[in-house]
Amino acid sequence: MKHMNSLFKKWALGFIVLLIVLFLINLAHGSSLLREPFYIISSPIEKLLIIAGEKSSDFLGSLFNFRDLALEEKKLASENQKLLSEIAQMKYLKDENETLKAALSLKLQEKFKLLLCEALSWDFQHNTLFISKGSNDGVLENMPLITGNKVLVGKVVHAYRNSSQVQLISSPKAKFDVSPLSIANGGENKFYTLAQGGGENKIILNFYPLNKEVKANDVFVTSCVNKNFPKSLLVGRVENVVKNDINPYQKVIIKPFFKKDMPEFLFLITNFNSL
Amino acid sequence: MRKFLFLLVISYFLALIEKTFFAYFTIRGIAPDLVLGLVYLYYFLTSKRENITVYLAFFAGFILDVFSSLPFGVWTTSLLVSVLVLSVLNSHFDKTNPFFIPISFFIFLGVYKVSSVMLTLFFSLFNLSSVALPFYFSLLGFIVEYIYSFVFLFICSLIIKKYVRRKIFL
Repeated sequence: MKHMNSLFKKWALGFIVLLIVLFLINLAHGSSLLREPFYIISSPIEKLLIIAGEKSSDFLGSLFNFRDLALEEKKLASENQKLLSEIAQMKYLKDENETLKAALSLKLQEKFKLLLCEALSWDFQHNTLFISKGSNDGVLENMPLITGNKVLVGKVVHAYRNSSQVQLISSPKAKFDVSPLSIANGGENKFYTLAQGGGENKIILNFYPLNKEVKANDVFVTSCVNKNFPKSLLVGRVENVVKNDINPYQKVIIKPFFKKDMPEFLFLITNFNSL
Repeated sequence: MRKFLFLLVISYFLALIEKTFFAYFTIRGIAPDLVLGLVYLYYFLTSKRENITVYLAFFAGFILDVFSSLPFGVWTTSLLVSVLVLSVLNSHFDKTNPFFIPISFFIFLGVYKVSSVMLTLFFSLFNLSSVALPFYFSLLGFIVEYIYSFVFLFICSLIIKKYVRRKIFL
């Protein structure tokens, strides 16, 4: 019994010392020194595992849907004819799209000062991402992270020496203002609304006025009223709209444009001072 | 020592698989706890070596912390607390009882989750927004995680019993 008591005391003391050490590490933001070498070593393995995960999920998805294949075939046959007629129309739209692209031309470099970085490690469960640039490269907290196509990914929450932690816009902690693309681009009745990350690759607009029309597939962009992010960055597409007679607002669920299999190279906007 | 290093390498790869590969097989954002399962399974199969399990819990927790976005040390300490609770359970209950594994794993995971919430708050100086993941820290989320992790634990225990020489593991 005495032996047990002394063993327990030994462990308890060790545990308290460990808690104090870890608390001090967190207080001094020293965790980056421990984390960074692991990210660099693990990054190639992580990429392989992400690819394997993606392929496996596609394969298993098709296995589970095996029963639906016969129905799918019939559906595809009828859709095939429909698609043929649409191809002709698509060709026209393609030409139109190319003209529009040339006219709009993203010209990201002219608008923003960009810093190229690499996605090192994803934590989809906690909606965070670690990137390869840190305070040594001039990264500061709150810098927005985008893709080459002007798609908003998130913002830097911790800048370590050689890497940074980014909070994705799907994180429940992320709050920013958005506008529908049609209105943001010079439409009438300009307005903006608060967007909040809903986790699980979703963004939720809880306060979307009932009198404002919104439908599935509508595109939303940042509006920059609260200066969280620069204006007109692509956020996502409407997945679902929930209306309720009791609630004076409609709830809009948005699927962000960025995906798990996003390009590994991203851009930090270094000349935007967010609040 | 070699066996211990072997276990550390396994826990490193399990942590990587858990956060990358299983990110595509989550149930409402929840992936199975492979590293936790490894520690539990090791303890269950080698309960006479509690010290080694504690060291394994420490290093496996460290690896989880490295890859986590939560404050550093949350998983190390949570795993240590869970192993200590498991050793108390083990000394008071009959391990041969068929209900011992599901119940003890339920308590093991419960302690792990509760202590992770408490420690996240502690290490983030009681910043409530640091645990703003509703489903992940909810009761339903816990049950989903328990079932999901337990299925993997069961499969792994079968594999170990059938294919892996106990000498390697023990």
